[in-house]
Amino acid sequence: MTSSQPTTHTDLPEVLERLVRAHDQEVVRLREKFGDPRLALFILTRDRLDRESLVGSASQHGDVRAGGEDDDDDLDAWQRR
Amino acid sequence: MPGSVVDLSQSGARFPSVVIVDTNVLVEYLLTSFLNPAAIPAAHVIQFFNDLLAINGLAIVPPTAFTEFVHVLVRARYQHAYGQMTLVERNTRYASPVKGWRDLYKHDESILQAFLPDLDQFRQLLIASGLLLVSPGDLGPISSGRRRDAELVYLIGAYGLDSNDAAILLEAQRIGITDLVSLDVDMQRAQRDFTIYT
Repeated sequence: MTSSQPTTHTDLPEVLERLVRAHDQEVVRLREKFGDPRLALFILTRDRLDRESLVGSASQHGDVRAGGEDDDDDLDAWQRR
Repeated sequence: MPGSVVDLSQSGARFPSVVIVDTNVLVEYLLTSFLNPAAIPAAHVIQFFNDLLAINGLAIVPPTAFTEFVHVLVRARYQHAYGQMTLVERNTRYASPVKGWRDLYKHDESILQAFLPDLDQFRQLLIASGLLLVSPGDLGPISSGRRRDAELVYLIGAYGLDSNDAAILLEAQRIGITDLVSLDVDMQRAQRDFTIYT
């Protein structure tokens, strides 16, 4: 995922061709800015979040998508107005 | 074109060169930040991205997946802030006691505002990592000719999936890609029309 080579794909859907060209340029610019993006992402994650909060947030979010119970969406907020 | 379910951990599994990425894959990628460095190379999600790199592949994040990803980060930031508060602070800092991340979110928007530069850096680092974030305006037309609202409801019924799952599949269709990598077993219900890599 950290290749510096431009993405080359054949038979891309039309909607993607233009996006991929712009994306490749943006990737080059951002890698010059951040260096190794994986390392920068790991450092940012560890500095700003903690594992328990991220796991808790992700699992609760997964429960919402699975239709389980959680406190994610404040669905009764309108009743308090 | 009929799809299937592909277990990427099985040897010989065909790997797509262009794939839609579900929210849970992005979050799992962040979670590898907390692994012991020796365990990182073996992490399933790291292998996925390494394999993608090896074939110079393209990973696409549809709009709904990015929105969900941001929500997970915001929620995690509030949970982190809540966890750092003392019991006294939880009971006295605001007009009423805060009993969890959502109460804190309701009382204190400054935590979110202070987190904004980080949120944008997360966004930029996803792009720098090679992920293509697609905006709603970049999506192609809906092939069935239905309006988005009607198509979303149709897909919810067709696949038996909740709204955001169906929205991600709808966006994948509009991008023109039917290969999806997801850690959510629910997504496998869409294997009639999508190939789900897991």
